[in-house]
Amino acid sequence: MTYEALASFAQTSGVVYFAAVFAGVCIYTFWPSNKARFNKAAHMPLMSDDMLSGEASIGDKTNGQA
Amino acid sequence: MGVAHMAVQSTGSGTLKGYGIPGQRPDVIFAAVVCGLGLIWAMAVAALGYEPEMRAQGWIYGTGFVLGLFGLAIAGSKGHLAVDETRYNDSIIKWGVGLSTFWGIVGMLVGVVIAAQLAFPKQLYFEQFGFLNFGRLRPIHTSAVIFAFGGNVLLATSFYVVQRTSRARLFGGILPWFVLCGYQLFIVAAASGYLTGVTAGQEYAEPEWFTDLWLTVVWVAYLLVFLGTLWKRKEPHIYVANWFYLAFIVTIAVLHLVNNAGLPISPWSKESYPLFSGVQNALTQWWYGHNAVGFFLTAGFLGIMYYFIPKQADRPVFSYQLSIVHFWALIFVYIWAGPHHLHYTALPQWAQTLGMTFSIILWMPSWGGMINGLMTLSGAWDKLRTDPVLRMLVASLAFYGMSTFEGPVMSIRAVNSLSHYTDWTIGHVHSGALGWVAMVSFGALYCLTPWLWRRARLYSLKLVETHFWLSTIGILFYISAMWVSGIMQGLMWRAYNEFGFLEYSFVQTVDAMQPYYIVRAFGGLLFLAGACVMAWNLWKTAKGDVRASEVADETPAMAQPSLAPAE
Amino acid sequence: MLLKNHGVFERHTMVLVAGILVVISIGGLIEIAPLFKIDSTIEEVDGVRPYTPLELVGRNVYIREGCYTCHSQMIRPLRDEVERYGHYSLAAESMYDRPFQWGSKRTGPDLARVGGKYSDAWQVQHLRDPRSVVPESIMPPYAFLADNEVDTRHIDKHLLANARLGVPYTEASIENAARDLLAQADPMGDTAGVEERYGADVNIRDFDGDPKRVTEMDALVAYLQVLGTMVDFSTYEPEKAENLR
Repeated sequence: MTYEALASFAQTSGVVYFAAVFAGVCIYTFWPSNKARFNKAAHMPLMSDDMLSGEASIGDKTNGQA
Repeated sequence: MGVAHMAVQSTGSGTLKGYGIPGQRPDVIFAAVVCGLGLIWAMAVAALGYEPEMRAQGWIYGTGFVLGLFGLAIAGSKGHLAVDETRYNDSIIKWGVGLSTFWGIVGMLVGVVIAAQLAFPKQLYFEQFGFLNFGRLRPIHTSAVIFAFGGNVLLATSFYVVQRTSRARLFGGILPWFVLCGYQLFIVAAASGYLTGVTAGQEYAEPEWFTDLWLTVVWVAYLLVFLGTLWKRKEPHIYVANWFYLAFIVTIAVLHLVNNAGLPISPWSKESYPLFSGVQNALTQWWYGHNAVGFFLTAGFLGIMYYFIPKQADRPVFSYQLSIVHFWALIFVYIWAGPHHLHYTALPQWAQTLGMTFSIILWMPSWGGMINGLMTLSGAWDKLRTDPVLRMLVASLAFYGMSTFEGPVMSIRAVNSLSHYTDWTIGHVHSGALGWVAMVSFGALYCLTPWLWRRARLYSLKLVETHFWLSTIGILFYISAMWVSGIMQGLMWRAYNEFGFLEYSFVQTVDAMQPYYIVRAFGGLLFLAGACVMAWNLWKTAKGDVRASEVADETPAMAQPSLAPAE
Repeated sequence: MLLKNHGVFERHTMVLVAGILVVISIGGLIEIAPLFKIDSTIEEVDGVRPYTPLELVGRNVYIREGCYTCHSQMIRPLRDEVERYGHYSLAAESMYDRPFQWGSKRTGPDLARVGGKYSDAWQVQHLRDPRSVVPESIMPPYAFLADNEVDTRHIDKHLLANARLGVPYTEASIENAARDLLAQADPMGDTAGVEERYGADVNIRDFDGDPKRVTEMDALVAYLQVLGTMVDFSTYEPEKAENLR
C-alpha cells in the first residue's frame, strides 16, 4: 500500500470509526434492560468498607447473595 | 460484627486455604527468583558496566534486590507471608499513602528548586556541581511528580478501590508487594540515573533501556494483580472506576513498550538508540507523551474521582450511564490527540490536522466527566461548607474543567503557533497537574488515611482548609505568571519594528521573563508548603491524634459510622 | 450460585480489556502507520549524512545534559522564525536522529541551525560561563565538559547499533570509528579517512582549544557546529510534488 493510500484512509476512516464506536456505546448504555444493573452498580462505592466475609451491613444494597 | 472482625484478625498468621506453605507458593517463588536473577544481573553490571554511571546503576539495582530478598526472608520467618483471604490487604495501601506523600514532597521540592534556578541563575548554579544543572534536575521533577507521586497514588487508590468494589482481597498473595516495592526501585533507579547522566532523552520517557525493562516486569505484575482481583470478585458488576484504572494500566503498558523500543549498544552499556528516528520518533513520542497525560494523569485519576467523590459525599454518582459514555469516548478520543504537540513541524500536515480535530472533540468527554462528578453533589451542596476534603475533590474537578477547556484551545493551529515553545504550555500543564491531579490526589489521601488507620476523623480539618488555600493560591500565582510570560514571550518573538525587522533579540525575551519566573517559583513554594501541611496532618491522623482546638467541634460529616464499630 | 457464574464474569473482564485494546490501538495505528512509509514522509534533499563519531558523542552529551529541556531543534515555517533562525526545518534533517531532539520548549533559542553561526571559541566560552558572553542568559554553566576526556573504547558499538537500526554507516566507518573520532579534533593528524567517509565539508578542528586531549567539550561543540548545516538548499525545491504533504 502506498503512503498516499494509507494517508487518505487515515484521514477519512477516523470519523466513521468514531461514529460507529460512539453509537455502539450509546446503544449499550441506554438499552432499557441495562438500566437496573447500572443503578445498582452506581451504589457500589457506598457499600460498607468493612465486609469481606459477606455479612450484611448498613447501606449494603447487595447483601443476602453470598 | 466486632467479634467477627476480631476472630478474623486472630487467624492472621499460619497458612490458609488455597495458599499453603510460603516456600512452595508461586507468588513467593516468583518474587524470590526475580530478586535472585536481578541480583546476579546487577552484580555483573556493577563489575562489567562500560560506563561508571552504568556500574552505579548496577549497585543501585543490586541494593534493591538484596533488600527484596531480605524482606522476603524476614517476612517469611515471622509468618507475614501468610495470606488471609477473608480480609482486605490494607497494609500495602497504608504504605502507598505514605510513599505518595513522600514522593509528592520530593517532586514538588525539586520543582521549586528548578523554578528558582530559572529566576536566579547566578546564585543557583554551581560550576563544580554540573549534575545540579537544570537539564538534569528537570527530568527528576517531571518523573517524580508524575510517576513517583502520581504513580504511587494510583497504585494505592486502585488497590483500595478494586478490593472494595470487588469485595475480594488483592489477588496474588505477595504479588502486590512485589509491584509496590518494584515500582519504588524503578523510581530510584530512574531518578539516580538522570542525576548521574543516564537518560534516553525522550521527554517523560527518560529512563534507559534496562529500567524500561524492569518497569515492564513490574507493570505486568500490576496488571495481573488488578485483573486477578476482578476475576475473583463477589460483585456481579465491575464498577466504572475500575474501568478507568484498567484502561490506565493496559494503555500505559502499550505506550511504554512502543515508545521505548530501542537497541542498546551492549548489554553492559547505559547507551541505547531508539528504533524510530526523526519524524517517526517524534510522532510515537508525542503519541506516548499525550497519552501519558490522557491515561496516566487523566483516566487513572478519573478512577479516583468515580470512587472517592461518591464515597465522601455519600451519594451515588450523578449518572452511571454518563460515566460509561464518558469512559469510552475519553479513551477513544484521547489516543488520537498527540500530534497537536507537533503543529507546524516537519510532521505531515494531515496528521497535525487529525490531532487537532480530535483534541477539540476531546473537550466533550472531558467536560462530560467533570459534570458527572460535580452533579454527584446535587442536593448535597451544603457538604462543601462543612467538609474541606470534599471541597478539595470538587476544586480539583473545577481545575480539570479549566485545563481541559484550555487544552483544546491550545491545540488549534493558530493559537498553537503563539503558545508553542512558550511558558503558556508550562502553565497549562501545571493547571492540570497541580489543580487536577495533585488536588484530587490530596483529597483521596485525606479520605484514605482515616479509613485505613480506622480513625473517626482527621487530625485537623482546619489544616485541610489551610492546605486547600495554600494550594489554590499557589496554583493561581503559578498559572497566571505563566500565562502572562508565555503570551508575552510569544508576542515578543514575532514582534516587528517599524523598519520591518524583528523587534527583540532572543535574550531580550529571556530577560523580560524574570519577574514572572520569581512569581512562579513563589506559587510553587506555596503549593509545596501546602503539601507539607498535609503530610503533618496525615501523620498525626495515622497516629490517632485529634488537634486539641478541634476536639469539641467535631463535624458529623467527617465521621465514618461504618468504620467506627470495628473494634 | 456465585461460583457457577464465575466463568462469565471472568470473560466479562477480558471483554473489557479487549475493548480497551481495540479502541486504543486502532486509533493509534491509523494515525501512525502511514508515516512508516519512510520514503514518502521525508523530502528529497542532498547533503544529509550520518553524524561523525565525534558529533555522535557530542549529541549524546547534549542529551545527557538535558539540553532538549530548554532548546528546540525545529524551526517552524513562520515568518519570524525563519528570519530569526533560518530556513524552516525539514523532516530529512532529523532522519538519523535517534532520539529526535525537536524539543517542546524554548527557554533558550532554537538550535536547529546554530551550526556555523558562532566561532568555536565563542561556543566554548559560552558553555563554560554563559553569562560572560550573554549577561542576561539564564543557562547553567558547563565548564566541566572540558575536563571530561572522551572515552573512545566503545564508539564503534555506538555506530554499529545505529547501523543495525538503518543508519547508513559503512563497515569502514564502524571499523575506524575511534580513529575518526580523534582525527576530527586534530587538524594536524591524518584526517583523510574522516573526509573520505563523511565528506569534504566535515568540520575538522581542535574545537575546544585544548590540543592535548579530545574532551566532551570538543564533541559537543562539533555537534553544535554541524546542526542545520548539512542540507544543500540550493538544490532543494520546496514546491516539488513529493515535498508537499
